[in-house]
Amino acid sequence: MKTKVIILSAFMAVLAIPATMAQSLVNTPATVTLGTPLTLTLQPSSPNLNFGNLNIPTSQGTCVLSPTGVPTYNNVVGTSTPNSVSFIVTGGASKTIAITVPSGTVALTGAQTGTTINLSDFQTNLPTLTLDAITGSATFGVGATLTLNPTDKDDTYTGTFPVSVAYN
Amino acid sequence: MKTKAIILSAFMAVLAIPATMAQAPVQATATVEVGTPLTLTLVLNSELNFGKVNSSAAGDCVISTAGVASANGGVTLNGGTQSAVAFTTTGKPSGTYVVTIPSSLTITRVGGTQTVTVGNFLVRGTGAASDSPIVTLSGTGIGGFAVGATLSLGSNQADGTYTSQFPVTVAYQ
Repeated sequence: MKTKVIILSAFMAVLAIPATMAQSLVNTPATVTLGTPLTLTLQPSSPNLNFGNLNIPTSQGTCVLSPTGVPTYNNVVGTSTPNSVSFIVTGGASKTIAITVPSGTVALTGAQTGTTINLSDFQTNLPTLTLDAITGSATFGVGATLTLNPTDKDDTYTGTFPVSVAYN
Repeated sequence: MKTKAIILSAFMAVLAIPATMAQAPVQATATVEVGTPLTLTLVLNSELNFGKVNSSAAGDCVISTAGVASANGGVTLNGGTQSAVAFTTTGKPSGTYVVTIPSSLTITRVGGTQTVTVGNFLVRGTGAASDSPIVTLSGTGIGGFAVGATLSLGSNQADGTYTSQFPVTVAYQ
């Protein structure tokens, strides 16, 4: 009776194996890689990519915000301090990971006008990084380029963009 | 024996699932506040001018925001050019800003040490129906305002020309 219960448990676990791995139970242990899952979270102290206050330019201009939060203004006047967004990644100690940021443009939408402005050229200071040998964690920042035009409206613009990590 | 082997395989396979699952992307928020800068320009050659006044006793001279002079107490008007000072502003379409001027300032006679006091500054936006330090820009972001004030003279005010400058600032409300 006891043996029967054990067999049933095993059967259900095997069902959970991806279809491609279920073909041979004998070979399965040899191909499995055990690892610590990667987690990615926003750093509470800098959870937003915030360009601060910018003046609408008389001709097209940009604000380039580096992954460490340093702004470079090109034909745009900034009137407050911006900051980049930071992430905390945890995983296997000493593992190297790759960071993926958007490759195209992301539209930010004005709360009042509904008009959009574009973010582009997302960059991170560490496209690949090695997690700490002891804690298995690391932090990195993400910046981007905001383009403003004379036709842009006074407004507060917000938008979201995805950032992901994967083991190399 | 065979049963045991199956259990082992299954156990390791289940453990492996979390490691091979991709971490879902984290959605980060980007924000920016974009605004049209507020500019302030003094209308060319415009000045707050009380013209020529005489004083037989203490009194004052008022220049309205429309540039009209009036005298009170022992002060009488004696010609000259009387005017309010005018400014133009540009900024956010239909935006509202507040004009800030010191509550009063002391002006010293040119070549002397005697002083008069100018205070009670008044502001009126272009086209506005009444005086107010709060001014609204047009739908195209153009605006302006005029500033008047009250000049107070002592009973034995020394003859001469009294001149000074005063700061005017504007800020979005």
